[in-house]
Amino acid sequence: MHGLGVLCGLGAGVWLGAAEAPTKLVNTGLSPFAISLCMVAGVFTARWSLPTLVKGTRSVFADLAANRHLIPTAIIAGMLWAVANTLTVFAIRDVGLAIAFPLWNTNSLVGIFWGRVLFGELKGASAKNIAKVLLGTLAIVGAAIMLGFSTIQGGGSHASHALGGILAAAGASLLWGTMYIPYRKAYVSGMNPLSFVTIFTIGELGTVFALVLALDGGTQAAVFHSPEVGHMLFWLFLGGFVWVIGDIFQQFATKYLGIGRGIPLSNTNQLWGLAWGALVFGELAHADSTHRLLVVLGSVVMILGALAVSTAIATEREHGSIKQSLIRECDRYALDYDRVFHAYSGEAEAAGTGRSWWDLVIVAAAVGVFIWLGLKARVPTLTMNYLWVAVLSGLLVLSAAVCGWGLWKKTRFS
Amino acid sequence: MVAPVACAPTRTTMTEFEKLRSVLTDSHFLIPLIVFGIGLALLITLH
Repeated sequence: MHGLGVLCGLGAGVWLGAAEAPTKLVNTGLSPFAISLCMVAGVFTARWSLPTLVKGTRSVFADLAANRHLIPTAIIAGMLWAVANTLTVFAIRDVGLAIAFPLWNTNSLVGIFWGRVLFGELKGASAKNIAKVLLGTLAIVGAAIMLGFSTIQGGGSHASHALGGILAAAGASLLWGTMYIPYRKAYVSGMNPLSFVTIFTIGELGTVFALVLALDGGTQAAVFHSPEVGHMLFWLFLGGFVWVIGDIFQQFATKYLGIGRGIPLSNTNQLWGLAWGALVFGELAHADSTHRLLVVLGSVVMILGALAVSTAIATEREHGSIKQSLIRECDRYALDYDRVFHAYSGEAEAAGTGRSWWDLVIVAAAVGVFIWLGLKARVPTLTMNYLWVAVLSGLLVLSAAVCGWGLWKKTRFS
Repeated sequence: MVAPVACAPTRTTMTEFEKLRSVLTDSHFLIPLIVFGIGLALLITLH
């Protein structure tokens, strides 16, 4: 399962990196809360499109019924994501991307800490594997910093709100690193990633909606009244669609690799985000040789880091400590160890298999929303390289096909 | 991959309410909840 987890982690990076691309087409005066709400509404809608075809609602609801006690855990994960995402906007505003990005990218180190303390990850691992994971993660963080700097043009002074911005970025790191505790807990308890994502998106949507109501003008907020919103919703929904596919792969990576290895691999999304920015939107067109060198160095270091983490295959001793975390869950919640073990190993026979007619209705409704928004969308006048749009979109489809095929063949998406 | 174990968990049955109470007092839930509170407080302060 290690290879499948690595594949999913890298696939998550490709998709999560691309999720930013559609949002670049949105040029509006809406607040960070409003942008976050629109994108998360897209995530929620997209959850009921392609993923519903993968595993019908009957199977998802049967899994949720068997794991009712984990529903609060999935909701808190969505709440953490929503607040962290909004904090990043404040961080960029107050200290700029160059300082904010490296800070919140340390979430992988927070994740490794929680993985070790709460789930026994890397406990009993060989010194070589521990070194590979730690150094690989540091390399990915370092590379992300280089790639982040390569996109900075000019700089600027943000000194007046520096402390607030740094706190916001550090807070986002803490929240995004901690968010993986619920992810991992769900999987050592035998929950299916698609069921987890279903509840996760509800937690996300509820939180951003509450944030808009509480902090962005309540029912008078511009997002509910501005006529401009209708023209740009499609692009934010598209970003949400791409994000949710990436998140599903990220969930499977966390399930089959653990937090410590899963987060660094999906954090390679920075490389793909930069690829979209530079190749499609020409963001590095006027970059000097220093910036271009940062891109090359950052990309090479990130690939080496991902390689180090990918090759740190858990040994029997490490599996022994992971086994203890499964036993802990079974003991604490009176779960059937055999069922949990088979679900964790991707061998579960899902209850309520097959798709129903209402699944098709749900998918049709979700696709209908996208088509309706697409008809209202205003095509931006932004210059784009359509050849690279085709190449990178092709890579997206290819990565999804490879990861999807691997998950289907080995686990039937369990 | 993790191998199956011969030893069974000590508890065999729990009501859904007991499970829910156990979740809400579990460090796996409490730590994310506390961190969420910290994040929310930070967000309100910065707003």
